[in-house]
Amino acid sequence: MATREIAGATVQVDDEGFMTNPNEWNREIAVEIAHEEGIPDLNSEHWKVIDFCRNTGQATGKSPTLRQITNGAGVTTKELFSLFPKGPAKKVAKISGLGKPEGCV
Amino acid sequence: MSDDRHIAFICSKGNLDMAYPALVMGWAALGNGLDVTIFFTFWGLDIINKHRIDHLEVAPVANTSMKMSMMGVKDPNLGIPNLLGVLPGMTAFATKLMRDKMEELEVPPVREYLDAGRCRRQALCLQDDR
Repeated sequence: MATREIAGATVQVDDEGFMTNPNEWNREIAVEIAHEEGIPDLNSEHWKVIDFCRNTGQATGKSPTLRQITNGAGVTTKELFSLFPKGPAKKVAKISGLGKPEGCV
Repeated sequence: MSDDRHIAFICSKGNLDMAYPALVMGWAALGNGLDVTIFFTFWGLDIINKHRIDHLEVAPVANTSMKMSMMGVKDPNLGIPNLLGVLPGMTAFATKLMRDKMEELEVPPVREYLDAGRCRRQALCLQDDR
């Protein structure tokens, strides 16, 4: 298992850069991964989605699907795609320190 | 993984069950950052026809995978006889069975997938305008 340093902390990641231990996650790490994913600033809307994903991840052990995010976090699909352009399911999971999403809906 | 991957699907059938493969896979691809193109042709045009999109159907005739077990019969191999399938209303009946099942499993309706795809395009346009 590879490790890397993000925001001053050493965390475990898989070969696509997804963190493998959600407990190692913190908000500074999220900000830095978001930077790498091309999102310069995380605003309150971003955090609403990230917090929802963190809660779902803690409850189910999995990254939520896009549909679970839009239904659960109260954002529309359109908003989600503009908050996390190019692949929101994958980006949100990565920024939230969860594994790659497995669900397909 | 590079972000310039692109995937294309062809929808040439307008049956309810044939709308889903491209939509489900395309949606998953979209969520993972791929560009998705869906080409609708022949009967597949029903999927994007405003009169048809909410009324796609599935016919029990000559559909060997549609079994009586969908209606609660225990034997998983007992088929719906083709002779019964030709009766008026059987296609509507089979369609309702399938729609109920999908609702139970929280499968989004076809329109929702296409609206979502449109949302994504609009979101991209908004970014381009910035």
